[in-house]
Amino acid sequence: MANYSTLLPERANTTIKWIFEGEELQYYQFIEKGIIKATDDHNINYKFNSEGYRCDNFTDQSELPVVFLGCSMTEGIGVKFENLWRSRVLSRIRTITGKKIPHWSLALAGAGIDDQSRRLYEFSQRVNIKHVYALFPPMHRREYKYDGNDYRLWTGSANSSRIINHVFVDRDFSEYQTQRSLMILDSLRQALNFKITATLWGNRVEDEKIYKNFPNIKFFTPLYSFPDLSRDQCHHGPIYHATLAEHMWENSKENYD
Amino acid sequence: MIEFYSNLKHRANTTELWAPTDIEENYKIFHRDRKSPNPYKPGDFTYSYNNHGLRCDNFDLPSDINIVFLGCSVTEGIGLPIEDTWSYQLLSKIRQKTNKNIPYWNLAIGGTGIDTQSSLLHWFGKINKIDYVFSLIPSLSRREYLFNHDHIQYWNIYLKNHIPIDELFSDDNYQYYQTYRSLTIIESIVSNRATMYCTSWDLSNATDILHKKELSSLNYFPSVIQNIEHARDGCHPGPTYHKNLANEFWTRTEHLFNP
Repeated sequence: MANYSTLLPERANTTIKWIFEGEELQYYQFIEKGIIKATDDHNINYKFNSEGYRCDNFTDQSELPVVFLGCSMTEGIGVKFENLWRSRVLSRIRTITGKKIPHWSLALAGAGIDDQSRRLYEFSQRVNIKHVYALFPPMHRREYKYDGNDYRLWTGSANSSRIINHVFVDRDFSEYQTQRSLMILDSLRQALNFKITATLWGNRVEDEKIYKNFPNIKFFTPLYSFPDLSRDQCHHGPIYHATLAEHMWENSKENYD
Repeated sequence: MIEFYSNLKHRANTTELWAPTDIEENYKIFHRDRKSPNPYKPGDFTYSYNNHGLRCDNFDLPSDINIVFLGCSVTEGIGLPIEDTWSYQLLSKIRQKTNKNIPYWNLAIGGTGIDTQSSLLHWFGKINKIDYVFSLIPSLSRREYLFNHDHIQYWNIYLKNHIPIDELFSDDNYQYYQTYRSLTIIESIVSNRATMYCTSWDLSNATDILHKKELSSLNYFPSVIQNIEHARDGCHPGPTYHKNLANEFWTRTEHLFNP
């Protein structure tokens, strides 16, 4: 159960090779058993900014503020920074606009749309956002609040309290809270006049309906092919990221005319 | 998926003699037991609902200034004629000063809280431009939840009926979290686009959250009006409270409106 209220400050301004405990050992076991072969794509550095996010510092000057949202797929667990879908999309934007644009991502492993909409709202108090790209995870992910600014993520695990598990698994509850998060994003979009391009990962046709009810959020059909895996063997790999980046770009390039 | 509050459909375009809590039985009890005089009798006023089931004008009327009122049963005006509600009185002052054509658009629904206010304002913002929002926020513990895909149920701490939801919704941190989500929706809608002023009738719950720096667009002010009489149902504030509340809003906002 990720607790980013403590994790983000702890890892700020650090660079690490492995993101979760036991990952290195597991990786070499995969090699030993012949499940995977070591490649240069597996030589990963997770470099965190001054606030603990895997991206540039938020205090950098930007001529066109672009923000990426998502979970571990977007944070890029098991994938080199330059191979991430967000790195590829940003590269396209930088090329076509010729502008100086820092790479800003609020994505965090385990996060859902509730967490990401809150972070974007808070980020919007600091930065005049112009473009948002999001790869949202399954709709059931929630966050809940302890005292102060201590927010915890809920991803469907049984580690939390019985009450939270009982209510959060309810489909109607998920749908309602997802809708509220989309209202936050949609209201922010209109208030600040930025563009949102978004999709989901996973095979969740039912979830798509919720997103499509917000027509001003440019939502496109998720990719349903998953050609490769990341180093940890439980996230999508560089080929998926490259394909997704193409779809993100195709669905948003008109915003840069 | 909720587009609008379908539970209001049954009363769309109707006029009723009574409303929830403002029922004949409550009136009789109040009339019998209360020492203070009941300001209204049966038949003194009715409840007329627009084509969405809300106690106000239709939303497709032409308007020079788009003003929206948010709230619960107090703002809906349960137990009072519409002309005696704080929202209608405030609107009358604005109309009088500006001499503009301004429909009465009141999104208040009895029993609801800030979650419903945020959803309704988001919905309304999609069909109409919003210039001003005035809100009387009820207890921040009030929630709503979805069931059977597209039905909304209102929840408050006195009407517990589903054990898991009761425990979660009663948690202070959960209340704070959901309230914050609702306020961020409302703040995002009004910031840069509209002017909002709000207060709450529940000072115990209108805590530091309404004073948060990033929510400053809400222009929250604590109201200290005492309720000295009741409405016809014996459980909502009476006309003096509404008159004083309208004056409180007007004192703070009169400078915004010019002829």
